[in-house]
Amino acid sequence: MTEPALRLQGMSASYGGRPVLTGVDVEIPAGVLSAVVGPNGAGKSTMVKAALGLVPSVRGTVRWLGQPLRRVRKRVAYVPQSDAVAKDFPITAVQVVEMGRYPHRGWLRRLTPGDDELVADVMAQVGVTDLADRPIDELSGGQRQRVFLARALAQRAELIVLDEPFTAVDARTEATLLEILTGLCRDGASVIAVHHDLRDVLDHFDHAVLMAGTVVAAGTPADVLTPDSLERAYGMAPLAAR
Amino acid sequence: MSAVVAGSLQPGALQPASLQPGALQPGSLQAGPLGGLLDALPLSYPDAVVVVGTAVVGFVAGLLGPLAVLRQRSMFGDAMSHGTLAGVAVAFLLTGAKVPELLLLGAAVSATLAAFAMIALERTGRLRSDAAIGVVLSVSLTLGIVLLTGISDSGNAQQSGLDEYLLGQTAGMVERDIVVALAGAGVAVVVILLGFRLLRSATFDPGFTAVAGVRTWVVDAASTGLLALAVVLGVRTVGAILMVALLVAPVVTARQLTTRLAALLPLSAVVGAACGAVGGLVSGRAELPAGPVIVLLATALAVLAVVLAPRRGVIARARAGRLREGAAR
Repeated sequence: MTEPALRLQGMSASYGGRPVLTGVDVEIPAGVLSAVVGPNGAGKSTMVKAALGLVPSVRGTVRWLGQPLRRVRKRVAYVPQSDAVAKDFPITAVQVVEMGRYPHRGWLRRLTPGDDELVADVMAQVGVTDLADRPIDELSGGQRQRVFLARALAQRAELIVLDEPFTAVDARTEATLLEILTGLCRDGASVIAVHHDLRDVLDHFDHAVLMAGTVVAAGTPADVLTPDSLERAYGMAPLAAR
Repeated sequence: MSAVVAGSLQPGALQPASLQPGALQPGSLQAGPLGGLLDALPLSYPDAVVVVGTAVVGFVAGLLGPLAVLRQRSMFGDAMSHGTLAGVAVAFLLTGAKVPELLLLGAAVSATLAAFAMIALERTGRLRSDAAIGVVLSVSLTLGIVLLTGISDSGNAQQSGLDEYLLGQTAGMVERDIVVALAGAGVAVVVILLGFRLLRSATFDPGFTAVAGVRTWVVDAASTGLLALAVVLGVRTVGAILMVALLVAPVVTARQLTTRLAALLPLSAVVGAACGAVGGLVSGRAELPAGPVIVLLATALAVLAVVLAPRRGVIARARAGRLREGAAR
């Protein structure tokens, strides 16, 4: 039996004493494209960040690929929300992608020629080869997001976790990124993305977790995004409203 | 006769003739800890001490300034430098003498306390970081000034010159100060070289770096420690009030000229060193406090770079924008 990509039991998290998540119990299956959805302030990002050890006060059990995070760090790649990354930082696109090899090489050793080859390959795969030497702050939102996905690919992770990967991204880039992520799942990898576009989730994702301070529903998008549970999460039915 | 003249013009004897003879004497007589290295400069000995000393201080500030600027902690560094004053005063009160190394130790302790105070206020008092910085900055400056005023009113003959820690002073700099600064510079260079990848990664993308298994508080602590080092080394030369400018301005200049961190760090260090050396020399000759002169120089360079830099400068960007508009039409 394959372990789920992520299993949370009795998780709660708070920011500065204010509870953001309570009683989260959820299993996200492996090998599928999964979305974490919900209204603003529902704790979508917090759930993912808490599970990754990025939020200070967290309780409960977290298992990534059946293991505690510290055992599977190399196998889990994280693409943070774009405003969690330093603005105006002097670094080029290829240097960002190279970061994906650091979990394997450590922080002191040089990258190997094999690493360089892999970096070049994944940059070609997401279509940013000609941007390699451009500083990251001169790229558009879509180009940046391609570079960050390339970093996750360079890590050769079995599980990629993305926080709002499609904000400030052009439609063509979103289609390309979705296609690559779907391809990864077909090859056996797992993808968990925090996302806010419900239409997108219905059309492209295999699995969804609907949040509102805790887990409201989880399962296939069609089963989860029902008027009933949407009303519980949003206090109204946003799909019907459109 | 001619042989005697030739004999007195041996290469070793020739060298001093090209320098100011009067000022040279003390330097050539006393072999300091730097082993006469300063005599190699075409400057009088006291000038050479000031130029090399302020250059090393500027080098360290320029090299470590990115830890404040790129991590958006410039004001954090400012509060730490204001925090040094009280430490200098307390060290003097405890020892009753102006031993530079002990005063620097006091400065280091109180700068570190200021850093801890800001972090603690932010974490437990739930203040926003700008408020925590504001509180610590003003309280520690007040404390420093009260203590220094108290000391100067006490009539202690030893105390004269303590107030130079406020605005900076290069007069009275000796070779031993350079040795201390060089040791600090050595530590800074080694830590930056070894930790470069980690610092870059943790500053650029702390989330990714933490998930990759790095305890980011270790990186935070190390960079705060390095900032304290830069501040403490510079506080006597540049002064507690203006030290932050020497941390920030060289970074601004260097950032305008490069798009890679590996180039930015040495460039910023060289800019810092140049501003220190030239500013130190000018202030000594013009009998002005060193801090303001060095800082004005560093700021002028930064302004020039912001306006004129080839790629990122205001003019270059305006031109590129006009080109794009033209192309779009």
